[in-house]
Amino acid sequence: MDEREKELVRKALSGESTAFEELVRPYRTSLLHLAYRMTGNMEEAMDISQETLLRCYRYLNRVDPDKNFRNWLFQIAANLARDWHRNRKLEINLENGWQKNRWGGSNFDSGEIPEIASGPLSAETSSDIQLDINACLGKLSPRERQVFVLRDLEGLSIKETATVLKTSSLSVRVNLSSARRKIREIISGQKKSGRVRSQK
Amino acid sequence: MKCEAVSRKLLLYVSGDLDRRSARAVEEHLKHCPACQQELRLIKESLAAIRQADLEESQKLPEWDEERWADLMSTIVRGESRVPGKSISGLFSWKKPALAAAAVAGLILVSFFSYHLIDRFWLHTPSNKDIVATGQQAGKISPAGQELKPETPTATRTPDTASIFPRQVELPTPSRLEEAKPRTRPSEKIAEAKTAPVPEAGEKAGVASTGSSELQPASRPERVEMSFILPESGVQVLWILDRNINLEGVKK
Repeated sequence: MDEREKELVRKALSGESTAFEELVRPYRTSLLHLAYRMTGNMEEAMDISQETLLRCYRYLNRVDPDKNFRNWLFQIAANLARDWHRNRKLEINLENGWQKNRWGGSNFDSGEIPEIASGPLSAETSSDIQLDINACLGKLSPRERQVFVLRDLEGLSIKETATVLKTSSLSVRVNLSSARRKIREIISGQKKSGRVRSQK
Repeated sequence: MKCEAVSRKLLLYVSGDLDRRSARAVEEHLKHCPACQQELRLIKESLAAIRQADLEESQKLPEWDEERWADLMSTIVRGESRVPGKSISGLFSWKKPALAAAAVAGLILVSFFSYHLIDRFWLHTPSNKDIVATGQQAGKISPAGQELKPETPTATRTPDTASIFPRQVELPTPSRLEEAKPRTRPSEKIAEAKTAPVPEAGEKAGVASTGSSELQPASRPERVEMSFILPESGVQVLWILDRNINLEGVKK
């Protein structure tokens, strides 16, 4: 956290209402995009971003001045996105269980999450971007997705990613490898079928 | 090192996330293995493709709406609500006039009920019905345990009500304060009512209660108005508390 951010945190904690806005404004776009990449849904991303900012304000007195403020914001957002994935998994399990029961089945524990629907932008941009990024990310597990988004799309280091996700560097490496392998298979498959333009 | 092991390490090697020793081993293997070189190229291209797609799509992603952002910041700092889309200020915005009008009407209704409930059960003062009834039944006890007295309400303000009602239309004058009859607590009144003589019509309550040292002058205004403005929506809420209007809204 640089000196300016420290000063803004101090002002916000002392009750200066505009200081908080000044503090978080530079990160609002990256926060929204991060949430969007983690959920694949703009509505959810907006909700997560808002909740992130609210929690940031609420727990501002706990922020460590020696740590990166953006990463702290990302940490809150990642936690919320993880909760969102858990709730979604629960909902889908309940729906699957209900449907299977309805047709004579009894399995409530399939745990299989259908592919996250393409985001609201995929249709309008499909002509320009032949690679549907949300479809690719939807193939990853929630953890792989978080790691991949933070490391490969947001550019955090392995250590920073581990800090944000409150996990070990080893876990980040394992999930990152797995995510990259899946992404590589998806994109290679799409290239073979001619759906992705070649990168020069 | 075998190709299978190298291809796993390539996934981290590509971004420099391997430790130095492993990276060196991978580089040695790559010098002599065209298949792993091809695999490395595919991984690089895949990551480049998805980063490029992310970059292009990010430019088309919707940004924060400035109005929504300002509303969110205001809501967060004031701590009114968690979700700006469902914030209190949003409910009272002029974009939803019907809801705002219903809320104001509800507040007014609640204020009437509150006023009469306070009037009956908290302050223990006779209501208008009681007052009317006491014209013929002076000195008797009402079912609620209140004394029925031939009195008319006077516009004075007690210290208790002064804190509740910030603005009143009809403020008492010193002369009216002097004329204001003393009032006792219900329990005392009940006890007194059994022994005290029935006051004559027109006789002041202070005389009827004959100079008890515990009697306190207490009367309240006929009408009190309060208003406040919700700062974000600009909605002005006006409370009119009129003791001459009963719960049915009929003015006596």
